[in-house]
Amino acid sequence: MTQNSRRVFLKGLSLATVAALVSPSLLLSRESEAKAAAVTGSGTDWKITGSHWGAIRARVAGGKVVEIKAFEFDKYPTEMIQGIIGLIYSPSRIRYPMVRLDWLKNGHKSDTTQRGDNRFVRVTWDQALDLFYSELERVQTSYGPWAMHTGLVGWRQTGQFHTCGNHMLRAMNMHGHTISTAGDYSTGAGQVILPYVLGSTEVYSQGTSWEVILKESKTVIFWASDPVKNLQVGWNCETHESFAYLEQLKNKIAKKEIRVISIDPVKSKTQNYLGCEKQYVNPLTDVALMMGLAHTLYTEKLHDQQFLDAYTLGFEKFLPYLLGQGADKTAKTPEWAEKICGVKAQQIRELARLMASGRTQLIFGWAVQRQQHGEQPYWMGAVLAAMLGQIGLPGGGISYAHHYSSIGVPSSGAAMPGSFPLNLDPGKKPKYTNTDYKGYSPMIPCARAIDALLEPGKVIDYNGQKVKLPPYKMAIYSGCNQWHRQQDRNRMKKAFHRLETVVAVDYTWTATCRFADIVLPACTQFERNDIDAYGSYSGRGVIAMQKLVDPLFSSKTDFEIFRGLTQRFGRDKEYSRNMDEMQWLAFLYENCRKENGSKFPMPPFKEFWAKGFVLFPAGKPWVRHADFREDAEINALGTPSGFIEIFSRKIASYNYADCPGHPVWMEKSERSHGGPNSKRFPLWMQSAHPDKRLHSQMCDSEPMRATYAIQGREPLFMSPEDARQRGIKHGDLVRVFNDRGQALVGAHVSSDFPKGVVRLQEGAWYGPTGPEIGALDTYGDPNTMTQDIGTSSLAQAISANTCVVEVEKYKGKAPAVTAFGGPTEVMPK
Amino acid sequence: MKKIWIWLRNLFCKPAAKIGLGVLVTVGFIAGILAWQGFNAGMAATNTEEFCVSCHTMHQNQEELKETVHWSNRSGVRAQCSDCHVPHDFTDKMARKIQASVEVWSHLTGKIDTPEKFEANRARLAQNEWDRFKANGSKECRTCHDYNSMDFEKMRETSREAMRGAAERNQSCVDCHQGIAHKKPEKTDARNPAFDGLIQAAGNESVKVGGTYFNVYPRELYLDEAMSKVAGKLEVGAPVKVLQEKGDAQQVEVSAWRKSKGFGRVWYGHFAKNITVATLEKAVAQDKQLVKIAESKEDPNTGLIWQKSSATFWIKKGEVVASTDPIWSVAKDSYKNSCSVCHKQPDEAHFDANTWPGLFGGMVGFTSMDKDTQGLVLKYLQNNSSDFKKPSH
Amino acid sequence: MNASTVTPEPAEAAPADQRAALYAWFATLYARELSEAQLQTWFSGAAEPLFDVLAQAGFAAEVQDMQGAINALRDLPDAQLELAADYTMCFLLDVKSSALPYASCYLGEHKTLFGPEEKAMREKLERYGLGLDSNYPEAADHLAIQLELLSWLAMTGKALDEQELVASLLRWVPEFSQKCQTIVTQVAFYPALSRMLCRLLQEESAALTDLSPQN
Repeated sequence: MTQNSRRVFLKGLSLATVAALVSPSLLLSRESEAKAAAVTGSGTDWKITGSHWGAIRARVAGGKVVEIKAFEFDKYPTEMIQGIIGLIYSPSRIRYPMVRLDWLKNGHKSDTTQRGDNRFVRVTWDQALDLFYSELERVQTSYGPWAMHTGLVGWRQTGQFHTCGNHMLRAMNMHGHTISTAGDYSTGAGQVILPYVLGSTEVYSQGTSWEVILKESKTVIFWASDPVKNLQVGWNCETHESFAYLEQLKNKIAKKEIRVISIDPVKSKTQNYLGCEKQYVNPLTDVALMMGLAHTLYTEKLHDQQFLDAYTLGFEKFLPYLLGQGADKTAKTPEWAEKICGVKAQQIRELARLMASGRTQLIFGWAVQRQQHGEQPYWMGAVLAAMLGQIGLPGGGISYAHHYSSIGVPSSGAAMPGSFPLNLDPGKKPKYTNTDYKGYSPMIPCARAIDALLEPGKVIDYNGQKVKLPPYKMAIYSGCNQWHRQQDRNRMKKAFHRLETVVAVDYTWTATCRFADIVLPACTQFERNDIDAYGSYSGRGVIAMQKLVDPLFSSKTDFEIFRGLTQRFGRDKEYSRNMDEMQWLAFLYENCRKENGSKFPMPPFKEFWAKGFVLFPAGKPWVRHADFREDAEINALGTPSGFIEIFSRKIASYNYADCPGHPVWMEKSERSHGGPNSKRFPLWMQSAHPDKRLHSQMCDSEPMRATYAIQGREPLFMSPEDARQRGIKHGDLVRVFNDRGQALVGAHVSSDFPKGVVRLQEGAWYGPTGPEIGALDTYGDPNTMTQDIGTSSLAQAISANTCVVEVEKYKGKAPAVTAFGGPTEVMPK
Repeated sequence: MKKIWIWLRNLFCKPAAKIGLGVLVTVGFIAGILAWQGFNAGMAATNTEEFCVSCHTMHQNQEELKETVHWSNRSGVRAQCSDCHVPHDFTDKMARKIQASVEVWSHLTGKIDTPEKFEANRARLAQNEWDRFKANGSKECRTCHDYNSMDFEKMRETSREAMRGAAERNQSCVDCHQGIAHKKPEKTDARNPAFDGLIQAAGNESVKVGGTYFNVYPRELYLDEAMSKVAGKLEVGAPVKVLQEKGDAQQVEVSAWRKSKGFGRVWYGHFAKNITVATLEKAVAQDKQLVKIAESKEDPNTGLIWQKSSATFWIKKGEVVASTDPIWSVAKDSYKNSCSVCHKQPDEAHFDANTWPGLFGGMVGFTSMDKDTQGLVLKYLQNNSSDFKKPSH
Repeated sequence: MNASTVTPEPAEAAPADQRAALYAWFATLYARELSEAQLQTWFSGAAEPLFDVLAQAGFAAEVQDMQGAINALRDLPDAQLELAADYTMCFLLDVKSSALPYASCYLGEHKTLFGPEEKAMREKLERYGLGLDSNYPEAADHLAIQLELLSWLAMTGKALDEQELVASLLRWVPEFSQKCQTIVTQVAFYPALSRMLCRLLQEESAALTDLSPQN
């Protein structure tokens, strides 16, 4: 700069020089009367809305959400509601429609090996939807329905109208037939095995009411179940009513009025809260422990033979295996079990005696079925419960879901609002009616979605059927983070090279969006009006989800996005039934109101919307399977025989080596504590549901992540002993790895964890250093290390918890976290 | 130059743009009132109106009537209380008055002396009147609305065939037309209105003796022709062979499979498939005179012995159809609508008949289907399962 | 110091008008990707006079990078798309992959969108009686909007406010610019632009500090 004129002075610069290079200003002078509200929106306003994390009231000032508090009815709100502002204003938000550059240039012939590390360009909504639509056309006409995969929906944002999967599927159904999926990632093994055994999925069924358990149970066993952690979130708007009962349970434990035992390798959040007893078990060996318990019950004649005779089938076919008279000639004694499960034989005997000594309620979590042979612990649990003979009695029997969406809170019985239809309206046909799948199966078990790409045309067993895996060419993900829930990232990378076109619709830059070609910004549920059930199982009421702020940036509701898509083939009016958002809400609400009639009076929609909620009275306490116990003939179970099937002839008829006709203990492909591969990788890594997220949702909320991340990374929980042996201190950066992958994480040393067990919570966002196979994950997604194998030929579900790893202190310069927006202050030590 | 610059920068030229804040637009729902497309013949006005309203708890009833076409219409003919509720024939009129004295008594003793109490009793009182209309073939209605004077061609297309059929069967008006003069009572356990269509279709069915028909609504099986002794329950979709018809009753043969374990109360449509067609009272199921067993065989999937059984029962006439198509069509709609709320509903043939009850039972709690609809949908799924069909794709 | 005195269409604009023009130029470049037409204008040499002036004023290195970028683009088949992808990579992805052009992503306790900085900008605009173009659905603390305001302040002679805004921008533009330099782009256009902006603001601020009455 010149010495005498220090200020910016550009010699010879005339305005004309610049004029050709500038656009009209983004600023406008404003007329005085528009002043007050337009820019700052000086008004302040409390609104009500719902979420997986519960109902909230939100203060909106200046067009911005500035404060969140729990809805008054919610007496046990989760701290996660404080992450909602961070979720709305996350710097990871997708702000505009985007297309991967190479895909924009070359379409379906793009270089797919660049996926995940490719350049994007912003496009207009019209461009984006035109491209999306022309791909639908191309795939339907040049391949057919087998090439289009749409079964890709997950824990959508809440709201019955805007439920994103329905919008995507309705639009896709209008266009043509597609490949869909069966099962889900949470309960894949349980929901397939239990209908054979207990006649229902059980995992999604209402369970015995907590107040019955509190009154009648002498002993409660939480088997790999952590309700205090998992009940923070619900499938619809969560009420958190279960916590009142858990509090009573805690008080009863303190007064020694009940015995509560948590069977878990880890001291869970529930155990810490309740102050209950703990029964350690080696990871993945629960079935061995159960066999030991069953052996004790039988040999000590503590089992209920009358119950077995009246209500079950096939015990006599299971018995030889238990007693060592079967093919393996091994009695499943407590001594036998001790060697596998690490519980002393004497302790096993005492536990069996305790269970048989009075009313015992078994409560299973879902973790034990998210492993190889995940069918077995659930089946064997049912056998144990049948031997105890308390199924259908108040405070006895078995539950598989008391940690989920307030199961155990009696149902009000009221009808809940319906949702936006995912099907075509009656009589309508898709634009392309072609149903020629070229011999491929039109449906794949969801967890085998990557196999389908890597092993096209492979015929696999699934639940008594044969499935020929279709090598689909185009995939559409809607509100679904496939790159969080599916196992084995490096395998996924390879598989995604084979996809021609990937479309992702989401509100935040998940890894799934990074690996997509067309990325469409949906707004969050806080930027749209909706209604939801308050309490998925309790049916406590209906909640208004009042829009807090307008959609940010260029984002749109899923409804608007897919209406725009269907408009491209002239079916937008059919899609929307010519109704707008509020008309739909009134329609869904009034239908619900009509169904509830005078039994559950509801105000007219307008009144409801202004008030924000309608609540229904509590339902009556209820006992699961009581009707079956009362009259097993009329109220037969949904099993092939109508009875509890300890031996399933049907499963036996499939001749699956990995799932025979009765529950068995089977060694895993890898296992810590002396199991296969434990010499190289001595630590079992469990990928439990996170404590401060909902799966991968809210991982992008910076304020929330700040409460648990370590040096900006996902915490890896580990025992003090394991840490000491590896020279690791709490707060260190560590590398967790096995042959499948590696991640950089922060060590969280905690005495809640026993030696040989580490926890990396699922839902941590994937952020590899690059697109190359094997790249270091910079944040700590456990599925970088987990294996992508089916539980068995029966359920073909995920086996995420069958995973061993090693951990080492990280030395060298730590690469920055690439998973999402987050603190940049991360520096290697 | 600066002016051009300013113009380019556009600062003071554009009008102020309002930055949109969310405006909640609530849309009120306007309930459409379906006009009663009646045929108003001459109606004699009587002077009993004041009488009724003064003694009966009926101010509200009259107010409701005033909202309807029976009170105000383009032809200026008005129906009053007695036109519909008091038989025009002297004998019947007296009989009705005697019956009505119970209602007067109720009024005097305070049983129905407030609008709230009336509301609580509305369903029962309405049922009384419906039963009466049913019994007399809606005689009072037909003073004005006579089948013989109806010109079906002048009717709306949607009404024409229904009315023609009703006329042929000489059907009672209130079978279909309820809640036309007063508020229709809200049924506490309202059945899926889709069943009404099925029952109507069954009414149109001309049943031939010896033919096989399918039940349209879950209902009672009787041991006797007078339909006084309940034998059990016949499920929706259950096939029956019609043996004879007597009065309001039909004698039918039910033949099905049952398990030997237990009392054999539950009867299933196919061997080793848990698709319930009937459930019998314990004593009935054990009655060896009644229940004939043709054969027994073991279900390889469970090891249970199944017996092919048959028995004859009586059922109420007019609630069977010749094909399951209309039944499954209703079921399919319910399935598609209710089960797509949370997820894409699986293809019917994705599971077999014995797997469906477990899956359906685990999920149905999320829907608002009433019990009868649940049974209907489950039977639809089982009958269209992989045991009977290949997956549809 | 008051530079807003209007002289009849001088060849060389008054200093304040120069600044207004320059800030508007930056705002244009940060607001959106260059359209095909805009890029053609650049290809036709329309920017050369400005580059000459800037190079003389001490930004020769940045000018060279930008000219180099424009020249490189001339040879690319999808020049507009490539530059648009550079823009996207630099500014439009999430905060980790991009240098997000929002003050809120650099300042404040939590680096979120629509943070306190955004609120402050809205209030500031309101005080000046200014509104935002509704076709530009952006947060008010977007760099382009801040530069527009800076341009307006210069043009309307609100010198003190202008200084204040320069100081405010300097709390985060250096980090923003630094982040830009780490992003892999096809051509060096946007990283160079950001360096230039950052230096320009720094020079301006330094000059003002020297000129302030305390010194």
